[in-house]
Amino acid sequence: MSALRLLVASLALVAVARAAELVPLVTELPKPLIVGTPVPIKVDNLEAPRKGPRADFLVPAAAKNLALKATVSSSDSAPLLGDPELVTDGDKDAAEGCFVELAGGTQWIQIDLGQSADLSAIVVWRFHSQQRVYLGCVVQASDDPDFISGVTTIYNSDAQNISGRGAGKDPSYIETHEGRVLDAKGAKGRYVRLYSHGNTSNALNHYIEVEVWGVPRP
Amino acid sequence: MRASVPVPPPAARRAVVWLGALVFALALLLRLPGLDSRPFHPDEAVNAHLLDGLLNGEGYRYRQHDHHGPTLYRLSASVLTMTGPTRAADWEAWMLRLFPAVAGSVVAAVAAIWLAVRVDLRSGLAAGVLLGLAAPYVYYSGSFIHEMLLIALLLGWFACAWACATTDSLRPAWLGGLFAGLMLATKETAAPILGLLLLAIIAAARPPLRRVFAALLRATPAALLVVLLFYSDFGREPARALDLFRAVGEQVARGTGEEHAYPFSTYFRWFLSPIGPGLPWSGWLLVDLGLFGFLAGRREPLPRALALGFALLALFFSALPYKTPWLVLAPALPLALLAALGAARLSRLAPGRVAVMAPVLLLASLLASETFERCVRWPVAPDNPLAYSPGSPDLARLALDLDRLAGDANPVVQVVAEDYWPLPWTLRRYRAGFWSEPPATLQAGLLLVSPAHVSAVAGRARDFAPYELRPGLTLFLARVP
Repeated sequence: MSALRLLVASLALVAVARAAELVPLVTELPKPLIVGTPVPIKVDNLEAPRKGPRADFLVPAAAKNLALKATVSSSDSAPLLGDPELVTDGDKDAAEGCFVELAGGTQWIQIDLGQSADLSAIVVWRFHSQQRVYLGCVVQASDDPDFISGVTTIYNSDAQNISGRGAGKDPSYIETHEGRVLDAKGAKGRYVRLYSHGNTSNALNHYIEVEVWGVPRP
Repeated sequence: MRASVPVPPPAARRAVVWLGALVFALALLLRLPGLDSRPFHPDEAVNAHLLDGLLNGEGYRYRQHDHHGPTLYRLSASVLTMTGPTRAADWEAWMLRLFPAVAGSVVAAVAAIWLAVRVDLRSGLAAGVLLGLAAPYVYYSGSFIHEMLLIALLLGWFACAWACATTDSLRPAWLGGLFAGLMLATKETAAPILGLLLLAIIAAARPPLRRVFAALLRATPAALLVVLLFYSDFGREPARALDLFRAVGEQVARGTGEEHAYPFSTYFRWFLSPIGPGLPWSGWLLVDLGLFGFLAGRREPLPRALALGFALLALFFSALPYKTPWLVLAPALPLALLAALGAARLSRLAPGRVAVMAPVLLLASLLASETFERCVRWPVAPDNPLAYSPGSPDLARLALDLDRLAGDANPVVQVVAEDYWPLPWTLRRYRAGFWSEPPATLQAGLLLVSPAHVSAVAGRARDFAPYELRPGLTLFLARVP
């Protein structure tokens, strides 16, 4: 009888020890969703993907974001979504309510820096909740608010001149959350204007944020 | 009294067999070296994923919007089960691409044999050269998609249908029905292809109407039986047997919708304009030789049927808004056969052996130059018209970096993106999970995240580095501590 009790007690001990043993939790991971053939993004002169993290872009120590809270105007007097002020509010989130959506065709936004400045870099976030390329992109600086005289072109990927600011040879690029750093190479101007002509997903034009880094001129 | 199926004399039969074997061997030899080098296409990755599911207990289920019929998976699964590797983790790209490579070689060899028997050895040789070497046929022989299998079956069906229309025997009708059923169980485009080519054969060969109905009465039950068997997963899911027919509405909507919609002239631009790497010799030669073949033989039924078949298919696929470059293989098949007839007739204009071999060598070298540029040297260049949404060469760098970061730890790889194909193929040896929105918690391991979701996971991962999966699709690889 006592031998039987000993056996039962031993089995109970083994069961308790087994229960206390810890094993890694293995959960079923979500499987990929089946999709059809992807529609390609085909843009002439599209920039090759960058290998590794983005290199640092150097600007003068005195340079600051002159566009923060600056006045913004646009070619579209009644944007489809948002207001032009969103472009310089410091918020780079991609969610709806954080960007301005302008009508189709060639549209521009213009930032008034308040005074003329030596510009080092312009950083642009157009849209990054979907991978897309904006077309007909031109970025210019000038002291003339109408961009008739003294205009310096900082970036121009508009090979077909669809935006009407002359044909450019800069490569197009895919929008990401990092934004795009454009080398302003010391261009001078109080106003910065950015043109675009729709994108590879639709005909509309978007801006989340634009930073203009430079040093005000005395 | 109509003719019977032609049987060549023994000497000619030996020559035909040698021709077929030679064309098959050379075509396969040309296709084999590139099978592992090209980055996996998203469609190939989807097919590999479905094949893995079929081999590992998930069976086959027809998804009418996302992919096609089951024959490619069934055929691949049978061979892989017999040869050993049945899990995606054990596969290399060449193992899967061998199936279309063999199908592409069969197309070239069967076309050569068929024309050699039906017309003459020169026509057969020209067909072997054209279909064995032409860039579109070589390119898609290296893609684990349904198209090359469909074309191989189409050639079999065409041979049977032509035999029924031009000889006394109706026996090929059964086999033709089998081929038609297999085509319908391969891809939905089989239906219009079969209908239009049947129309072309009837219009050119003018068989008595009673004979057409007799052939259809034999072929249709065979085709239906094959369709029902394949779509019901060989009786395991009888409720799904009619899925192909239920999909008609959605397929029509897809073909005429905005997805992959391009203008009417797109195929002519893709295959005749000198865009991208190399010159489109295959497009130019097929059209020129095909035109000559038609003009020289316009009173004969076969050139008329091939010309009409090409015209109907080219018009149909050009008028259809939905376009992808591999769809051109179907209209290109009758055109290639017609071009082979044209090339053979052209070679007869000058007597002597040199007059035969010189054009063949010239034809082969021109086709080979395009094939080398588009299939070997620049297979995924953005301006290569054969490369449609291809995988990026950057995937190879991603695979190496994943292995380096993973070491021996076999970490979980979490993918957070709305679009990530062909990544499931790249990650086939990892324990990987796929989310379209960032999950509440991230496990320690590796993370691949789309730009849209980087800000949501930035505090939980580090060392973000970009990798291009496809032109226009970049994901960031990061470590989750």
